[in-house]
Amino acid sequence: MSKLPVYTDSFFASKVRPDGMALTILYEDGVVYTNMCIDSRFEGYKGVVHGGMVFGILDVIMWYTILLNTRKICMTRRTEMEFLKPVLCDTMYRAEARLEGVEEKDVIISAWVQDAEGERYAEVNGIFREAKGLAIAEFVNSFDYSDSSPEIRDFFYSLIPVKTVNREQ
Amino acid sequence: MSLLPCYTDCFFCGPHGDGLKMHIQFKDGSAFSDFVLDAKFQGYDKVAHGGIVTGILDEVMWWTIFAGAGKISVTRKMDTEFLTPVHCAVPYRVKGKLLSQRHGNMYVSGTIEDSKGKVAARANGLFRTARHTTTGELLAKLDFSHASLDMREMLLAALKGQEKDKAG
Repeated sequence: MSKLPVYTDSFFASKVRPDGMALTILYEDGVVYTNMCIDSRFEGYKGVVHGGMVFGILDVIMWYTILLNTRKICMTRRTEMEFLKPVLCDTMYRAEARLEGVEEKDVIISAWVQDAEGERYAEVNGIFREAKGLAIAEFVNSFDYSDSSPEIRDFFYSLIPVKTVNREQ
Repeated sequence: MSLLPCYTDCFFCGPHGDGLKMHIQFKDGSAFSDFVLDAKFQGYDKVAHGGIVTGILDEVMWWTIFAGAGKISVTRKMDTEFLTPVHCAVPYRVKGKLLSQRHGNMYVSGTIEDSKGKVAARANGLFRTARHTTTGELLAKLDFSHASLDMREMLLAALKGQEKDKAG
């Protein structure tokens, strides 16, 4: 199991933002997931995590899953989200994603929130497309690798076109 | 044009904490909000995170149903298209539209437009009448301090009506 690096300014995963969720994104046997317990700052109704926040978590997990499996830095293009049961605050869940395929420009992926018994609370199907015009070196350098393994760090830096590699330790 | 109340603890419209503090208005059957996102809500490179974009659309669709139909609802399904990046520090308007309602199902749409009316993101939602939230619970969490008087009277009447429907 490896901890994945996080975008330093990320609302969902940054370790240095007291206002964010500080999700720990894990990678194990080809699967990206997070074990999460969301506090009531992010509720919609009393004691229930806001649907936008639930989607945001799954969006993050899908993004990493695509990156690790295809080496593509993508943006969300379209999603179909189902809220099956309320995702409660201060309760443990796992958010996980699975790459379904790549069809021309479209990267097709699904993700879900489940409890310890595997019961699903929310599901999403998504289509992502590769981000255009992204400054990859700058982007890769803006991640916090302090909890990540050397292999994971090397993977991220390998995304940078060779001529522009400039590691900031 | 009338200013709606906010749900006190909501991350998107609540007045406290680190959330978006959206001011949501209601006019001609549509809830809407003019907003400028802070960079702290970016996914990357000053572009709003998809979760924040989705949450904004979800929020305004919920308020459209609440103010437009007087129903307390929860999101059941939501299909979202991200057409162009929603940038931080740029003004946008999000607005909802109630499309139809039948047997406790409310079909609603939401769009986020820039100042020229170009749609950056849009969503279609299926909401259902909330079973586990009572009128009293919701009322206790609504902050009417900045709401327009007409909205206060209309929503309180709608909540009373919903309570009668449940009791009946």
